[in-house]
Amino acid sequence: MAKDKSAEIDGYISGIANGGEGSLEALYEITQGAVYGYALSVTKNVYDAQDVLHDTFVKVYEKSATYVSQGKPMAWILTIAKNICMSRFRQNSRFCDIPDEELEAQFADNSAMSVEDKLLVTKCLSQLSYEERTVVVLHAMSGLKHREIAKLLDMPLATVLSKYNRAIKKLKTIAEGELE
Amino acid sequence: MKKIEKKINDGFTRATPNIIDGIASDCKSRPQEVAVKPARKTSWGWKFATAALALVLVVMSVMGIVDISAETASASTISLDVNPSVEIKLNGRQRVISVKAINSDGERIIGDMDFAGCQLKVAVNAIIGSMLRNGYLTEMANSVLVSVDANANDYKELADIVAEQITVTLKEMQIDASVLSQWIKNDDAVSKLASDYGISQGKAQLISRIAKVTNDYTTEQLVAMNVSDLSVLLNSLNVNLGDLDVDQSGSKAGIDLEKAKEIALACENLTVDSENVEIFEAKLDLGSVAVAYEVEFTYDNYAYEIKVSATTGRVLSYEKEYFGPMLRYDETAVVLDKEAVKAAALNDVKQDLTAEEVENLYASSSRYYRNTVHEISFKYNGVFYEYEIDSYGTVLMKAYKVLDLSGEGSYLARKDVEQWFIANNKDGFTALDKLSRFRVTVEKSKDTLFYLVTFVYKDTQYSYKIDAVNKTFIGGAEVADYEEAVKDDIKDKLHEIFGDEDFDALFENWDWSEWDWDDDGFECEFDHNGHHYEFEMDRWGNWEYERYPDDKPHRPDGEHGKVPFDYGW
Repeated sequence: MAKDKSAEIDGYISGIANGGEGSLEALYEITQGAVYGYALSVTKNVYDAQDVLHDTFVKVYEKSATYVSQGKPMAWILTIAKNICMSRFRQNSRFCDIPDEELEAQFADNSAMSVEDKLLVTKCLSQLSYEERTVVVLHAMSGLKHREIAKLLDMPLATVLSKYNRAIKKLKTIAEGELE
Repeated sequence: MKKIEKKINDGFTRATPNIIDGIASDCKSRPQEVAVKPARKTSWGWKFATAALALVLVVMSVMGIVDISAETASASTISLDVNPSVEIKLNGRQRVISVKAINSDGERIIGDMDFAGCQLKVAVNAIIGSMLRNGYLTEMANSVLVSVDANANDYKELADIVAEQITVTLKEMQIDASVLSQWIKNDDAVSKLASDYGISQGKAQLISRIAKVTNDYTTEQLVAMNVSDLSVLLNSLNVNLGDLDVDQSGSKAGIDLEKAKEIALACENLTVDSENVEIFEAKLDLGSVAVAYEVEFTYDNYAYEIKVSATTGRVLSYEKEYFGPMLRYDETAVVLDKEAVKAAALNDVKQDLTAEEVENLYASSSRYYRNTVHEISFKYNGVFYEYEIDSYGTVLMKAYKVLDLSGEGSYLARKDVEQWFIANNKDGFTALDKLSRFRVTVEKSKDTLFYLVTFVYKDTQYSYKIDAVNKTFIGGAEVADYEEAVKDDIKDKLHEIFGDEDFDALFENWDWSEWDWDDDGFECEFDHNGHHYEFEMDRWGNWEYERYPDDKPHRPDGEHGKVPFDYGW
């Protein structure tokens, strides 16, 4: 991810640690998409994903003072999100499984999303495998490099690259067929 | 960013609910953890060495005695790349002036070894030996790139010396080396690539040459590959890179990519020229099944992923998955029962194959969209088959995997993993009792079933992945990156707590094998001044410890006082 963005995120985390007004909001503003996108890819369920989003930022708040910058704040935040996902998964043994045909209905009330958005997000969740969608969403949303994604997901780089290429290919096929 | 990625970004961004108010309000009622972590200190040996070197340089420059004599003038530079990259500078008499790490893996390799004045062969032996010990060179990852920046006369001689020494050192560990040697040519674009990505001039030169003959990989992907990957890639591209001397006697690649595609497509009676076949990925898969070409293509609403052994050309695994439009059947469509679907799957493998002839036959049903899908798996003739067939007889997924790759036995059994590891690792681990915290876990992914073996030896945690089907190591040992850093942090913390004198006493007999870690962090236990301590630190540097005033288990009052750090210290 770009250094200046990392520095900006670092700044907000340090702002939160020091009680800076508006830091949490600013951090949320620029990182919410990545956290939610990742959580949604993992859980396939807007309610679980929203909970993960909430818990992640609360955890970031709690941990902000102990955060030591290594120039990779996004990876730190996403690691927290990942741990929360995993711990929820362990607690419930699985996420509430929403049948693929009902996925789109989850976004019915979201007026910010266009029809195309809803279709693409739904297809992402239903047509891509778990690994494909987490890799592609992380890449598109977080700005993490493939290498950083490999580290975050504990997957070999070669696998990440192959999942990514495959996912993009699938999505293009879908987009050509249905979106354009 | 790709156009499709932009769409994904837009879609997910707009899907994200705005819940900041709820978060902010919840945060108000939560305590923030207090920062107690000091700035990380660099490891002490390095700190001292760097300071000493700096002092020497300052004194020399102040006194004006920085003299470039024949002994210290660099006549040639040789870089060795595996994934660790190091650069050896030689004087005119081919003695080492210095060895420099180009990346952090290189730093790990060099450690505190001092090469000044030693022979080139000795330095190469030590560096390659260290790469072996640290798991960067293994049977499957056996390629070393040797890049020589010297005059034309010296190039050949130096390259030969280095290649020979690498071959000899690896041979001792029963590893066949694959050495790529190249002569460095000054090229501004290559120098820029090297400095932009923090890689050696040699690797940059190799990458820029590969990039000239293929557009399949981005510079970033090539930079991320280690030399073994690049070497195999070179082989698969089957191109002549001019003066690059490639000794791939140790290379495992037996067939090339084109042949692999041909074999994969032949599974469906197709060729590369068949209509409507779209190959969208074909490359060596180094991640799961070692040294196999993975060919992915689409045809007739199915996506195929076929793995072809790069050594023998045998199809190791096959998978096809339906990805066409949602299937709809009219009222006249015949619904098959479970038995009929089972028979269809068996028949697909061999005409009239019966349930009695196969092993481990397993069938279950689930819902997919609005249809019932039958999942059937069985083993037949050393091959494991899986089917997903809907109740109208449409195959949604078919996969098979050759189990018996060696011609003897099939899966590596869990109970045999320990002995197999000791017998087959190339990193010198010869007895289990020398390895603490030895753990074996079974990991399953869509592609592979493997064992994750982790243990601690001296001050390092090693983890290996063993492909249970192929009975091979998947890659080499992985050494946890964060371990040294956390240890340094803990050392610093204990130093702070105990003070100089106690700290020295404590570490005099410190045994690093008394460490353990799990998902949450690192733990260590030690005894000091009659107390027993349990110290924990997580990956973020948060720490706490408990002290038991009396470590004797038979204390008359039976109570062990827990003293959290904040109390009384």
